[in-house]
Amino acid sequence: MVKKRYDTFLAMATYCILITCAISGQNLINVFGLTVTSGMFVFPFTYMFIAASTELYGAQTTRQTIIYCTAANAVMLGVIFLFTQIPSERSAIGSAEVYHAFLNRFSYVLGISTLAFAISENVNVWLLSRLKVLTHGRLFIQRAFLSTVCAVTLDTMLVFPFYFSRQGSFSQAAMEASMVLGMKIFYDIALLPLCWGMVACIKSITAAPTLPQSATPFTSSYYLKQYD
Amino acid sequence: MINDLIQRFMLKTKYAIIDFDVETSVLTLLTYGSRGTFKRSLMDVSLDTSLVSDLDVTQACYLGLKMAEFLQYKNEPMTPKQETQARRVPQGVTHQVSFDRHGHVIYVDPESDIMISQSALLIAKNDTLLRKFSPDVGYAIGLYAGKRLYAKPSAVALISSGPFYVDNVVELR
Repeated sequence: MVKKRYDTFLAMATYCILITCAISGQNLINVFGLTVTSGMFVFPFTYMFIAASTELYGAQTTRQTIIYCTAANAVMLGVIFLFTQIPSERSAIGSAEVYHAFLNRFSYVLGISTLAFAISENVNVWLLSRLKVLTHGRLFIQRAFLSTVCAVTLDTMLVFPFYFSRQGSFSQAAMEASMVLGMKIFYDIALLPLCWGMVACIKSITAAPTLPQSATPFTSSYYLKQYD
Repeated sequence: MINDLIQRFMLKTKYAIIDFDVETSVLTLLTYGSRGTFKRSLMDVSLDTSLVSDLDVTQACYLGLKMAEFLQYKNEPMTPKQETQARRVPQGVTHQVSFDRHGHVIYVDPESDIMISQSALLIAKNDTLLRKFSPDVGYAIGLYAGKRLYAKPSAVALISSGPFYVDNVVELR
């Protein structure tokens, strides 16, 4: 049977979000008096796609997605490093120093977010698949919420050096990290219905077609009942 | 309602058999998109490969069963070409399925990657098993199951006692 699969779409969407997060991570915005990167509002979408992929296609397929995304980012970091080694006089966005400073900052954010992504998403997948076995595939929203909260907490702990480098003191960095964690969890809860809707939609598309009531007597199993 | 909308726009299964006239061997088919119906003879539908592939697999299998009955007790003349076309077996790597002379279907299970040999009649009775196949293969399974169902008793005994020589195949009867 040829079954439509949307795992490639989910993997591509995850990688797109990851790249967008690294680029938008350069932009600092003020939210309720707290300075955060705009990437914070993009990154939780990866949890949504990873949770959907785990629910629909299993932990093994999703782990492959995470490995490929991490490997692709590692390659990108290597290429960026090579770019920075090439001497240049000026760039399209200004002097060569501005361009090199942007690249350095970008590779720093990309590196740290890739590391956080690889570890936290693996935990997310592991927890979601374990909970799926325990709950016999029911309570998707609750499972996704629990695994995402754990993954977000781990992710924030891994990105802590980033906050520390920005704030300068441990207490201020801890304050920022806890505020960001709260906002991320709130944001993830808001995204859960969207995730559930996406899973339900893909399940509905890939499900076996339902025949009209009038067509039921004209199926092989119904017809062969008279010969039992 | 959402499922109905998806089926309308995705056009997964385009036609459904909603009636069969036993006297005239005429099928009434429902078109999913327009909700219109049209009538075709059993032979016309069976010989139209594109139409068979647009049916649900369980209905394609039903069509195969009916065609086997028709071929067994036919009272209409058929040209050799038509008969060959009606008894067609889908071939090629995409189907990953073959049929042996004992009425068994040999296929690779997509979930476990194990080669399985199963009675065509058993598959035709089970909707879950049947949904592993495409409608073209479903038609051929119905044809083989029908051949077994409408065979003479002596032929059935010969089929069921036949030797089985395929290596590395899980046999499920």
